[in-house]
Amino acid sequence: MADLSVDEAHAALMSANPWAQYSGSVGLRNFAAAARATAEYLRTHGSATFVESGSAGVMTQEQAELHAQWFEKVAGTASSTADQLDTLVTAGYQHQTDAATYYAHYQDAVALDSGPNPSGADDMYLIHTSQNTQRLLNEAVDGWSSSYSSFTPADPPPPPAAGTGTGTSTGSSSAGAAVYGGAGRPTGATTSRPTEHAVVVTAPPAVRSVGDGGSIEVGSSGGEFSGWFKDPRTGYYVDPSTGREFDPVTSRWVDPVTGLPFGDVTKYATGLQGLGGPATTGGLLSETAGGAAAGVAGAGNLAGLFTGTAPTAVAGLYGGLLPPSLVSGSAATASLWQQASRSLAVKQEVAATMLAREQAARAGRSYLPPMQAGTGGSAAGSGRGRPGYLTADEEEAELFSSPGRRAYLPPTQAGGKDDKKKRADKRPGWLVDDDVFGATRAPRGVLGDD
Amino acid sequence: MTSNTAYSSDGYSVVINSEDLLNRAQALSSQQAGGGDARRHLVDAVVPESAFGSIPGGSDAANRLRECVGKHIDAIAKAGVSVQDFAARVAAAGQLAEAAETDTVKVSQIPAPFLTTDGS
Repeated sequence: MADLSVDEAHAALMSANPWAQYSGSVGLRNFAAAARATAEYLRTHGSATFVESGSAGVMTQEQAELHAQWFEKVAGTASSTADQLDTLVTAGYQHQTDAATYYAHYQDAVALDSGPNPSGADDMYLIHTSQNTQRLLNEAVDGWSSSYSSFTPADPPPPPAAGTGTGTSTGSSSAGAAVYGGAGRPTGATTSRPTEHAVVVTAPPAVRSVGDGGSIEVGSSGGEFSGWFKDPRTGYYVDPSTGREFDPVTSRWVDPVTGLPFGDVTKYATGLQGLGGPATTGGLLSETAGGAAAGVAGAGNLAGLFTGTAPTAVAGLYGGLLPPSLVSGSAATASLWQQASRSLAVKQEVAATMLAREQAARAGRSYLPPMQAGTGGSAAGSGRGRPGYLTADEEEAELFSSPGRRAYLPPTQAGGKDDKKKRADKRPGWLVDDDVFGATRAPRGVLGDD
Repeated sequence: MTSNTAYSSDGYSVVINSEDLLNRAQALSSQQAGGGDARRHLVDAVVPESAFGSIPGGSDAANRLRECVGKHIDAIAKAGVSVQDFAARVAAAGQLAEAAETDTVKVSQIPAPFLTTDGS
């Protein structure tokens, strides 16, 4: 069982790169394609030799078939290893999405507790969320580690017997090598190939369209939902601007509280009906997009819709139908609205983060979270993820040995004993005792200590 | 794409004529690194650096994959095919798939009424 801190576990989970693993899978599939093409060539050329040489070509044909079968087996082991890698890729994306979700909840709790006067409930929420996040992230690390343990690529079958294909291919006169040709077909080989002599090749992921295998972004086949995040755990499409979810299997929107599809089959099912799509850049959602982009802590504008006072506006997000869990009439309605707001904020954060990671990988650069990417100066990014109790303003900072971000240490452990005298002289105005209520200091020298 | 390539795309893989692959590989073969370099390039292509991160067991899995690919390459060499030639075929497979993918995307962007029955 891993025993990492929240940040350590999160960093470990986000360090592996399923996209790069998928590149390896593609390489293996092309490896298999090359082996199959070699097998195809061996069979065709062996047959041609047999036809041209009569009975003298029998041995060559047999050897060619023997080698062709072996190359087919090599292609099979390479393909099965690629399948295993694909399984790892899927598991990796699921664990990373889990990690992003847990971490977003954690950041949400930190943000709630970072206000000027956090309540005791906020403190408790942060403590519990921190403990749960640490446990869940460590479980995710263990789960992914277990996936790696079960990754057992198969060895190739033993090559055909010695003497049937020795030396390099080009120019060899041995029976086996003669049928290989060079990298391509030899001069004189048949030039017209029946179409059944086909091999399956796979394009490198970096040049492929989004939404193809190995991608977590909805591609053009998703129609109106192109560019959304494809949740590897549920298969739902998640809007990176608002956190809304859509189930492409049932073509229905997903309730933000229950996580279940609801309502009639939406018109956006095919994406080819010219309906214009769920616009997020204008109209109803235009006010929400900017706020949602600020992340969990900054999704205030969208959260503003989820107060229960604007059910029509919320229904507009879901094709005109209010999610069942938000329909009024229940004593828990207010709580459910709040829960929906937080759920959407977390999903939005996860979707935006995961898409940004893939786009960074696709572009061949490393992903930097917003705080490290130079957005800290913006209004939305400043202080995000940094709890208030860890952040000192300028005046308070003078009281600390190291201004800014720091861990809280009680005075007895903080090594401030020697600074007491100095600090007393530099106390800000708001800390100076009122003359009326302040204790009168004893004059120096009375007790003979100075 | 060469004219005799029969391809179709399901969004995941592309079917091509094996003859095209061998022809492309022959053209590539002279440009490929030889001997040990070809083997190393082939292994590196399948096991990208840092793909497995710092998750416990990740580096072991990467080593197993690297060992598996190395064994395949060694077996192919033992069977009589030069590693350089085989590496050229692997590279050709990727290139042809990339070209077919690009063509497929282009075709999908042409409005249906303007497409002929053979997809040209």
